[in-house]
Amino acid sequence: MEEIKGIVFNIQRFTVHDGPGIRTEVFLKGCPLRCLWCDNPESFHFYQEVGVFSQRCIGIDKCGRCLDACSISKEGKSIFIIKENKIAGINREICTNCLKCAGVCPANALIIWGKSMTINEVMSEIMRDLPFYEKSNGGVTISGGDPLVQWKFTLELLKECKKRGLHTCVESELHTNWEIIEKILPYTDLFLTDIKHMDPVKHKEYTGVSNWLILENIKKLAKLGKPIVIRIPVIPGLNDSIENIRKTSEFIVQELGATVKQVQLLPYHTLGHPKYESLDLKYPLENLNVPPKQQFKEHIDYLAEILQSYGIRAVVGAYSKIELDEKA
Amino acid sequence: MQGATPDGRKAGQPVADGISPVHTDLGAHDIKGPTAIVLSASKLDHAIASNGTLLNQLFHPSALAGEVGDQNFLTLIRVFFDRKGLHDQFNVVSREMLEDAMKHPEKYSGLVVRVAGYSVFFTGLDPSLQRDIIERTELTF
Repeated sequence: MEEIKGIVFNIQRFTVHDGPGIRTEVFLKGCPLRCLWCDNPESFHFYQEVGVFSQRCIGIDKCGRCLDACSISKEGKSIFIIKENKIAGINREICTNCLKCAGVCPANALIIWGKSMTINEVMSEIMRDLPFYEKSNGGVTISGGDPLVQWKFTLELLKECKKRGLHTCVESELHTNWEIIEKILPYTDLFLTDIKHMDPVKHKEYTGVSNWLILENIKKLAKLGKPIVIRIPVIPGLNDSIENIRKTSEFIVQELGATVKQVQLLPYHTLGHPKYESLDLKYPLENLNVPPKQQFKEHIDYLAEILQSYGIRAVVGAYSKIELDEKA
Repeated sequence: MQGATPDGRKAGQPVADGISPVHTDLGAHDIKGPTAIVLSASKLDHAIASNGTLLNQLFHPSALAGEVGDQNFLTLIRVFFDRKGLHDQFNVVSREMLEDAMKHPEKYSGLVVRVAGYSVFFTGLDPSLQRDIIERTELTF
């Protein structure tokens, strides 16, 4: 039987904001959603892709190895976008993702987003930080993208983690068949998921999909008593209305109850911007009207208070301890 | 006086800051984060260094913020000393240091900003994003 492989785009050690304690976070490629504010655009597609970091290019006159390696360029077609003698982008419509250009670049101006790895290779990296998991009640978080796109790999990884007694956390949009979620359930200690908007029409406008399946799946998880942390990425003008937060609060109180261990309001940020450029993608919220920082902070604090007024354990950011020991 | 070395270190520059990961103009060796540094530095037998050893670790406040930050910080220290490390000192970047990092990225290439669901090397960011983080740093604090 061929060994299963996953396309991983990052393994981050000392992860402190995606689950309790010190964790190692495995980011898998592929996501069914296209949230306008996403900071991990390299996660959209499950396959490997080339990223262009123009500022690192040493110049096609001095180097130009990418042009020689590219199978499309060899046919005489112009595929690279060149500015001031440097590689500045790729025409993705004709690129075949052969990855040869990134393979020969000496300056890391062309990199490969995503690496094909076996379960053993990922576990080998994860197990290095065992002393830290043990002392901090940490463990492993599997994320992405959405780790349920490569659900078979995620399942095997979770099984392996459980064999070694590690605490497991899955961060997923939960926009998938319940049958798949059921398969990973026995090996997952904590779920991290988002409620991005309660209005299905707005949800589709902002993420590409309706929220119906997501909310149904979250309800099912809650019925089984599975611990959940809900996150709300707070995007100014899109989902930060008092009405939306009230509707979210009502849903949590009426449908989910005490299995929701914490609700985290995550303030909007644009740290992923350079990654859009590297993929020749336009950042969708370029013209978003962002309020001044202090004002935005006060607004988010107020939204947290609204959630708290419903008896919900709401916090701003992911800096507060998640109380897992209390019974649902 | 040590000459230039193949890892990008120029002649006369310090080899490293104590037993901390090497930083050269071409890049830093601390690319796997604070847990990797603690594990690596504690492999040495510190007892044979007659005048002691020194490990210096630099954090962006986002990595240590909040009530979880205290606990995680303590865990790093506990593991280091459980593994018979000798000395570990911590710097948390100030606004001034981040502004210095914008001008001299080679001194701070291992600095990672940590937010939920994402992480990034500070020196890899656009200056406008760096400015944004500097402003946010004050608020997280």
